[in-house]
Amino acid sequence: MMRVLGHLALGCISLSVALAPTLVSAEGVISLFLRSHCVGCHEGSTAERELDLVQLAMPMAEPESFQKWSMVYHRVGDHQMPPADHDQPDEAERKQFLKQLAERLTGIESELRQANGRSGVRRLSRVEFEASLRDLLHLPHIRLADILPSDGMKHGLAKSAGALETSHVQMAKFIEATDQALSAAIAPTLKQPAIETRRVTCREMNLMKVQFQQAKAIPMIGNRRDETFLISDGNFQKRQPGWTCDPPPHFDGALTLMHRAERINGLAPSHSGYYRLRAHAFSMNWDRGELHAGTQTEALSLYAENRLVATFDVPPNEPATREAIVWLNAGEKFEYAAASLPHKNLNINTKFYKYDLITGPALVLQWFEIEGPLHDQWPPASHAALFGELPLKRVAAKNMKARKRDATFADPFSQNELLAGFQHEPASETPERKQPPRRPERSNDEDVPPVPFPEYELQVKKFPKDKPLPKAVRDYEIQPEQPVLEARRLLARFMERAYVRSARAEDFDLPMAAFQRQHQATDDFIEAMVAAYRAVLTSPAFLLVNLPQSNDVAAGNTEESKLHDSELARRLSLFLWNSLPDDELRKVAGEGRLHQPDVLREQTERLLNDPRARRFTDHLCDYWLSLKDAELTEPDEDLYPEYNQLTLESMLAETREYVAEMVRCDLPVHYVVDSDFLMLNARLAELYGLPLPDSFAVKRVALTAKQHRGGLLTQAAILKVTANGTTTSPVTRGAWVLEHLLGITPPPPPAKVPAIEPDLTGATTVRQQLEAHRAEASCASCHRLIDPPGFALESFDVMGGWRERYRSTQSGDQAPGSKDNKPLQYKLGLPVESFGELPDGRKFSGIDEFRTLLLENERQLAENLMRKLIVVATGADVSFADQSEYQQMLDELQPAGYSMRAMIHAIAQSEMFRRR
Amino acid sequence: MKTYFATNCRMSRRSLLRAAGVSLTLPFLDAMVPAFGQVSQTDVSQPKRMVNIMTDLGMLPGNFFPREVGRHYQATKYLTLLDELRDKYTVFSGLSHPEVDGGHKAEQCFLTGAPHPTRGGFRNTISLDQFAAAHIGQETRFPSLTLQIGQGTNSLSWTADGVLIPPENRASRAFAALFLSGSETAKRERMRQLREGQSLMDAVGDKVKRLQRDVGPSDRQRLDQFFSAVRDFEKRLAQTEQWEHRPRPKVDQKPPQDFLEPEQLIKRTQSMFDVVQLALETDSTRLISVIIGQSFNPKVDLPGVQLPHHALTHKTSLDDARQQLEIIEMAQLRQLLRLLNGLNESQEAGESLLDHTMVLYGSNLGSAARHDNTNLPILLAGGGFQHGRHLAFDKQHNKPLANLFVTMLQHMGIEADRFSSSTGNLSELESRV
Repeated sequence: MMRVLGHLALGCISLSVALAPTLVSAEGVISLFLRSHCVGCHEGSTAERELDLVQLAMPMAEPESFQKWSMVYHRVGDHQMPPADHDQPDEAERKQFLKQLAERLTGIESELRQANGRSGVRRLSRVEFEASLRDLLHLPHIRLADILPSDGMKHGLAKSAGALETSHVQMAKFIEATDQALSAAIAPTLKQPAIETRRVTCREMNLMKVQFQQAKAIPMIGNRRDETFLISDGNFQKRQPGWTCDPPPHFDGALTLMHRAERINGLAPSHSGYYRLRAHAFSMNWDRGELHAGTQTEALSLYAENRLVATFDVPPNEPATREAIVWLNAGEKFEYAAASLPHKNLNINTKFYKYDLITGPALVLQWFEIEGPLHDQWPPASHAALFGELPLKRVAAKNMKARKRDATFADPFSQNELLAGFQHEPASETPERKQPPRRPERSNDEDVPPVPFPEYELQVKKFPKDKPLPKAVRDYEIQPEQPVLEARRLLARFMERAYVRSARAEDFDLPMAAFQRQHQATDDFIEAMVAAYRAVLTSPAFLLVNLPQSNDVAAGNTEESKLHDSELARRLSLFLWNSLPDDELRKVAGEGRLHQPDVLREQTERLLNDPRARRFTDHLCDYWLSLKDAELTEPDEDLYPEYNQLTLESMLAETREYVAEMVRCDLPVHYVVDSDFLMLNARLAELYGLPLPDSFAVKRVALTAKQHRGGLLTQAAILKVTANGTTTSPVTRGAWVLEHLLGITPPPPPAKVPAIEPDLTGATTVRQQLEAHRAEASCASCHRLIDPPGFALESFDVMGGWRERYRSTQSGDQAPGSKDNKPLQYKLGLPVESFGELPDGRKFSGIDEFRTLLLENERQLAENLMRKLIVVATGADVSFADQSEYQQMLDELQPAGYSMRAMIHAIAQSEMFRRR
Repeated sequence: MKTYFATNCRMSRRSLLRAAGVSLTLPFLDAMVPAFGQVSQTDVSQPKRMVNIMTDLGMLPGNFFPREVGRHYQATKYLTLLDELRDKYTVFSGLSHPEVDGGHKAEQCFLTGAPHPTRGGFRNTISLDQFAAAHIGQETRFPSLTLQIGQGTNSLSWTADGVLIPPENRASRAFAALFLSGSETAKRERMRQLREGQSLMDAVGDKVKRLQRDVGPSDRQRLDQFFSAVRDFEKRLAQTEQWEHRPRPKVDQKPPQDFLEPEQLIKRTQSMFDVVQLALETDSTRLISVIIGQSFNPKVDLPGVQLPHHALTHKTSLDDARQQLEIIEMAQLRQLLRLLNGLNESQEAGESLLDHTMVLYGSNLGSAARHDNTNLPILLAGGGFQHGRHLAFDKQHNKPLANLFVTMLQHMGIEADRFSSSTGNLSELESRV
């Protein structure tokens, strides 16, 4: 008995029609298929997965039911439905159903898009917010993203409405970040801060003295050890004070043997800005107390407030000055790391001098220096972005006192007596005790060497410290004759940049109201303008993307889903810079020319050649290649003693540079899998077992012989994000390759089957454990699909090194070598097997053959990357209504091997990109 | 080592405030100002509190779960540490969040129970504390406190839109927000800023409302969410302003130290737990969530511990590593004991504060070695239940942890019969009150 549910109408699907099989209309095909294969389970209140296909037989043109119908399409298309243990439709029937459903959905989607647009309104993501403010305020390095809550993901990226939810938390944090940026943009003082040079020599580093005491570092004069330097930390119980003897010639260098990051006090800048950062050092070799000439370049990394600012190549034997121009924020504290040295912290329990037990390369550090801030204009560009050319007027000296007091009182967290002295970080190093060094009267302690000399005090009386920043009180004001007029003029200019269109009358409501409130309360033009700018940057026109222009609707614009030039400009700059258009792009858009294909192409090209395009490739790396997860786990110190911070920094740089290179050189999509070059530095070459380049800067190196490397797949960062710190799993890696490179969503793990516990004793390999699992029929079908890429990658360990045998702490042969004077803590266990078989039966013996097989899936690699790029560009995935254009684009890209830049151009020119 | 101090990397808030002389920004505004909710049913004289603590590297199951069930279980190695409070807590086995998997990533679902956090398109749901805050948050200066012991910005608290509420990870700053109000000038300035924020949000909200007229149905939904965010923030500013008229509670204690060095897990925990206790004693909030995040793998500074914390959890099949891990986990549990004792000794209207404070302690990992998210170690102390038992549920078919959450909500006087994946409440946990 047929159920009658209702009649067929446009945008409806009905199961009702009791059609004779001969009269097979589209609806007939669909409803017949559903009736025969689906509603048995998916019907009524007890429907599987709460998917009631009978209830769903209502207007598809509701976004929610449309989504459910597309899910039905994909489940049936992927052969996930009907389930394997149910009767299967024959292939022709399935195809016919899919074809009819797709046609139907395409039509409905086109209609839905008439009302809703393709991409949908969304807010800025946190990286877009940060980049936009950086560009808008000319503060190229301000860090704001850390303040904002992290964004969600949709289609694997943070570019879609569904990934970018908004709650009160975001509003609060947007305002907090805006305030920070505006504060940083305003000139702190009337006069440009004087350029200052600060040098901290190794003699002035308290930490060096500590390291000398601990026998972790050695005082040097040039390239010789300072034999006359003696130090003792005294003996508390015997009440013997410590002492230091440094007769002339004084030491001028400190030889260090460890790579742990260590603090440099006294280098923190008092102003934000660009600085020349210099270091003076060289490398040598050390062998249990003996110095030898250095043989290779070593790395010296410098961090400001835990942010890597420079990695210098330090040459052997001759001290050399290395320099970089870097942005520093006021008050940032420095650390250095002799990054490439093998030992971490000389963590050795011994009564001997630690350095006498150590062999390996060493760095001799002489001094560090900063020079700056370097400003090419004052007030800085960021100030001009807010206040134009308005003159600064010095505040009279008598008023400064009151200003200072007000500034102090206005700071809500500075006033409580309880707070005195607590806001600052507790000093991590104990302050130097001022005690005159005295010669010990007698020494029974064997550890204290005899004292055979006239004494000399260490020349440095006081070690430099990083002082808390002085209270910066603005010593100037801006007092335009006609503040309201001036405010409107400044706002008009600023809003044109922030909104990418000329300001309309109603745009002034918010900021001018804020201006007036603030101006009345404080009579301070600068503060009133800050309030006004805050209002601009909090308004929907800035925070929201893809907003329809209201005058379209008023004008009855029929092509309203087509982007205007100014919107196209914003979309293009969000795509390639994560940010707002620059002046030129805005100008071209303002002239109404951007939609012309050749102009659009020219601008796309220009944006791609700009350094800001790194934001696009970095974002792609973070999401498409999961690099944002690179630091979630850290390789086990015992199993992977070679791994350190430099390894991590190098591998991230490799992949980021590689993807940037793919765009720069317009490389074909097969470079995802294979390449004739690598992006290498000395650390990566060491990890990969390749000839060492003489630098730690990542550079393009031609790949002569196949070293199992090439393409993204065998890059250390990819191998690391797909492993945990201890073990690798073919399942995890296989699923990652399917999902991220081939665009196949692997079936989710069944709920009730526990994960395999890796056998840490090393008695069985993960592969052997998996074999048992795969032997079960219910597991086999999925694992046949998921595991093969993972098997091929078994030849690479958790940090991307090549391996023939698994490392284990328990069983196997002792690994040769030592670290921190101890034998290596791991053993070489069972051999790695990396052969496998693809679901279609093609076999491979290891990564090299697997790569060759993967290269045959060029179209699939291209489709996957293309879809990712379309989501980056538009926020929406390729859907039914996009199919014909999408397939055509791919066809056109095929002859050139789907090259990267060509893909980007194709997207920028596409209908998908040009629609709202 | 460079990764530990993500929150340190930006400029100090204070230096920026000073530079501008004006700012809307007040610490905690986002996470800790009152939410408007329905009027609470709670009896004001005897308010109930809830503290939810999660440690992210599990606890060795063999050392945690008792073999025997019911009242006469024999305390395991870990529970022995808490034995002096045996009748003040219940230990559970066989609890977990159904369909919450993904190993470490499951930490974001500990208080939400949202399924499959690693799948594409995952969206989190409201956390237990925020759900409760919508009901009773308006009764205290801070509707909830979201704290983190560790680095980065992880927390257990999520809004209904699935947005993470950023945590405070410095005990000193939490203390300052709770108890320090500054000079009269500072207060006046803050008040003005709060009003400025309200005016701005009010105007922004109107703008968004107008925009909604011009868009299609799905965009209207997006704009509606944005509008609610704006209005919600505006209301919170208003509530904060109301509270600013009342003085903050005075406490004798000095601001605590932060102990941000990665190794100082135990001192850091103690410092933060002290703030938790003060916040409850002063009734500054009744809802606190604390995530103890160690998966970034520091070495813990305790005698006998040589290997990094996270690494140890993956080596528990080796005796030496397991012993080192025990040292850490026992030290953590001693900190829990210290907190529970502190609350127990603290009197409120002649009764112990612990009897009115539910303290949930547990982990998102049942077995850290296997990254397994079932059979979670969970205990619930205080709150005035009939404690002193081991409530055991099926190890193969775990009971939803959200059932316990429902009981906790009901115990707070919130009429909820469902939360997240709950299938009911945990009636086995009898109330004494």
